[in-house]
Amino acid sequence: MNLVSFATKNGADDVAIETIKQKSSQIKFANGSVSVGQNWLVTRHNVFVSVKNATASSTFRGLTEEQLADAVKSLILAAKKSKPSNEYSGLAKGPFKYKKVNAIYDKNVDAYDSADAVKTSLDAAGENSKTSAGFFYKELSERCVETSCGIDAEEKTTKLQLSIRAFNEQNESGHAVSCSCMVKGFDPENAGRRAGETAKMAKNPVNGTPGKYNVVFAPMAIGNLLSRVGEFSTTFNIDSGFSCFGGKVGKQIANKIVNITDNGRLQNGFNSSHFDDEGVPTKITNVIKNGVLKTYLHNTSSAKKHRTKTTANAGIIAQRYNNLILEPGKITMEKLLAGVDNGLYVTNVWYTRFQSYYTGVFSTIPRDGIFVIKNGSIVGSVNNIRITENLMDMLKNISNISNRTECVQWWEEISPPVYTPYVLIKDVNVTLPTM
Amino acid sequence: MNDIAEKVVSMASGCEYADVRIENVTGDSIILKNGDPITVGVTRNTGMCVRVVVKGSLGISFTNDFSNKAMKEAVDRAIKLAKSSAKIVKNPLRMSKETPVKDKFYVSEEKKLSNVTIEEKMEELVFLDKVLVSTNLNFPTRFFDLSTECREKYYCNSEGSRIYSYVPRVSLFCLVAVKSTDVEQRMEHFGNTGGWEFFRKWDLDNKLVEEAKILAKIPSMPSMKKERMNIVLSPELVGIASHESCGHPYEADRILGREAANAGGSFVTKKSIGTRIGSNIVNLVDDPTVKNSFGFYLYDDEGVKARKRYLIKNGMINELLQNRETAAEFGTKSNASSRANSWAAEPIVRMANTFVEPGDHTFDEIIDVKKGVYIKSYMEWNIDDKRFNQRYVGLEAYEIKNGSLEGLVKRPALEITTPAFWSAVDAVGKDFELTVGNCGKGEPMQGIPVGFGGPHIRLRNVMLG
Repeated sequence: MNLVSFATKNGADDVAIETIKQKSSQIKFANGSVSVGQNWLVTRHNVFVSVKNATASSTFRGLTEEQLADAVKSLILAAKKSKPSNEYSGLAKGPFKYKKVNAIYDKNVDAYDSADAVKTSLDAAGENSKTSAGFFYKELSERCVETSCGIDAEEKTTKLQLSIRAFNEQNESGHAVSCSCMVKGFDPENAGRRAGETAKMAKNPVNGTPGKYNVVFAPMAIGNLLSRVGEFSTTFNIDSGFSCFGGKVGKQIANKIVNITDNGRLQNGFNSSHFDDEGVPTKITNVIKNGVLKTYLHNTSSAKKHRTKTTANAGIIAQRYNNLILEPGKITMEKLLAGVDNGLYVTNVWYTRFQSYYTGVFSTIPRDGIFVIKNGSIVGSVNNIRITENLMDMLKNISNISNRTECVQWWEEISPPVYTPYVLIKDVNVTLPTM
Repeated sequence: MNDIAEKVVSMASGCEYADVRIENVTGDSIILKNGDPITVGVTRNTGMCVRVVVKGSLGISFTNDFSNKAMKEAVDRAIKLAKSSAKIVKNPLRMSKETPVKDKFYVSEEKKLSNVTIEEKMEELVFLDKVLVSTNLNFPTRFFDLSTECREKYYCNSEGSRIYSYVPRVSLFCLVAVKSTDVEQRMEHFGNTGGWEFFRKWDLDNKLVEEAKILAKIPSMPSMKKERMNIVLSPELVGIASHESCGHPYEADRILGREAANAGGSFVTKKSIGTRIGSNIVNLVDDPTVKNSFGFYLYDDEGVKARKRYLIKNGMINELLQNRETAAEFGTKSNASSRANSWAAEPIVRMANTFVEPGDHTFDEIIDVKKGVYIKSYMEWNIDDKRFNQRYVGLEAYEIKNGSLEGLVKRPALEITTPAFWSAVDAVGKDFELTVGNCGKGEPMQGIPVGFGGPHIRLRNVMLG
């Protein structure tokens, strides 16, 4: 049964159906041993319908064809009973031609030896650390988008991911990831080694000291904050009060050395695809150019509202970034660090929470290796600190960017992925528990 | 459900252990933003989780294809994955011995969620939005996300447990921003297990309007000097602190390092039980059995009967949250803390409703101090991954002078270690309130409904951050 035709025959004006068949598996490990192996074989249908500009959307999983048809009818009925949305103004009109996005599917992923990847990573981490925890994940996905506006597109993608956190003592840890769509380019050994090395460097941390510091952020750390930049750039979040970028298009929001793009077509991009959820071919979008916010991230409806063109970032209800990329600078990470007289080197942060999304006031907690820099050299390790800041100030205080980009994605802290070099930010406010 | 689950368990009969959980979720959702109905949704979500233990290795399959062939394949894949992982398993999995249970439980609904139409729900939200607009305050954002679900679950395992449950749940997330001289925001989550009757019980129109009026005043209020003082915390603040700095670090899987990669570890160790963490008037529990609470359940996702757990008793670390795997490691019994947020997720150690038990002080007695601050609500909070270093920044907060609440103050921050927090408690109120949230843990991430709260409490002589 063609669900799009079925939906239009049953009263829907616009229909978009994204079908994803996913075969994936995960090995989770802790204390240097496997704790669980999990696998998923799941089909889901993301269904969107509109009736007289009232919209309804849902994800259906585990339904027979008959149940799915019934669910789609229920969705149409829900749209009929709802009220027109001022924000919805139609789907993208297709069909489109799709240029191939390179290196996002590798048939060798299915046979990739999961246990071997875990063992390799654990062994590499073990050279410098006592124990480690993390997971290996692989995914094969078949995705199809069909709409009532002439779209019928399909693609296959694959993913390999390893995330490892190595420990010596509880406060001496390092975290690293490897993310790739292709077997070539996936390096669990390197992730393990780097996590272990950071754990070793973080030996004997002492309580930090509150104050203002020039801080070098490693990709995992700055990636966390840049992922907020990506989220805050979507029209949905701006209109919903979850962003401090409202009314800032065309304005200087970051240091002029900051260039950020969203690239849905990135070669071997961990979240690359040929088309968004409306079927629009993915694009490269300048989000911040020379520190100026150039655009929000749009789907067709939000673009119409803002009198611009879609940036191919649908979600039909809420847009999302694809692969957010901070353009590299010119100096090495080593030279970046050597240029800091009195500062900190932060390898990771988590639990970023905002006091006000409108103003950008927030705090986040550095974890894993946190190092003191004196006269360009790392002289010690600290812990128990918190960065208490304003995101808008931090973007303006970015003062240098290293020359090599890494892909980082972990948990909900950074997702979708961010591609970023090391970043130096001046005058970062650091606080500690008062008792 | 029952027949399918029985069939799958029998397919795994050669394993050391097997269990099957089938879930069927129906419901709907509405997003209303600035008065505009952004979308409505209909939930239809069915699938199955099968867990097997082979050679001391745990393998799990998830599928939403219920054909015989697909179910057999799911079992085979779980066994294959368990076997392939077994070669790098150092510590074979053991499970605590638990008595098999056969039972059914239902949460009743005065007004069945399935009988309330989308139009009725939409009308309620539109009314709420209009009530806010009628205040003539300047609202850059009014955001409501309402969802209802009815979750049917059937659990069975190779040891003979057979449990059916039906749990309806209604929840509302609100984000309201008010602009005066600056913009202040309030995020709030309401939720219960039960029927539509709870939507009315939340008294949203009065509550949100009052809070919006406060938000408009905050930007022009003074900040407090950072010095030692007495800090009175509302049930909302007590709840988040209970959840973050007591519930999470007492999760036994964290203590064993199983979630160390993402959610992190714990400052609590195997040797911590019986040691002092707070003043002797602190009694803090996690209780899944609180009727109609957001985190309610009677059996966990390993078929173990739920009960109240005293995490802190008279200021001492008393009990940890255990599933069958961690309980075996600790040489104890599971206390029914194993939960998964859907059929497509692994059950792991989770909280249910975490709260401080009420004491004997009235609110007037609690604020009867010469100098202090009363923090009623918050926006920003966080805690480190050992659950030791935490921060809560007040949103609605008042200065206390000579036993009276004086004017509003702007963003008082409490940045404090966990032992310092709980040791400073010198008064616990008679009152009690549970707030709700979706707690995140696991890989892949699982947001799970929980409650947290307690009475008002007072922290004596602590430093404002």
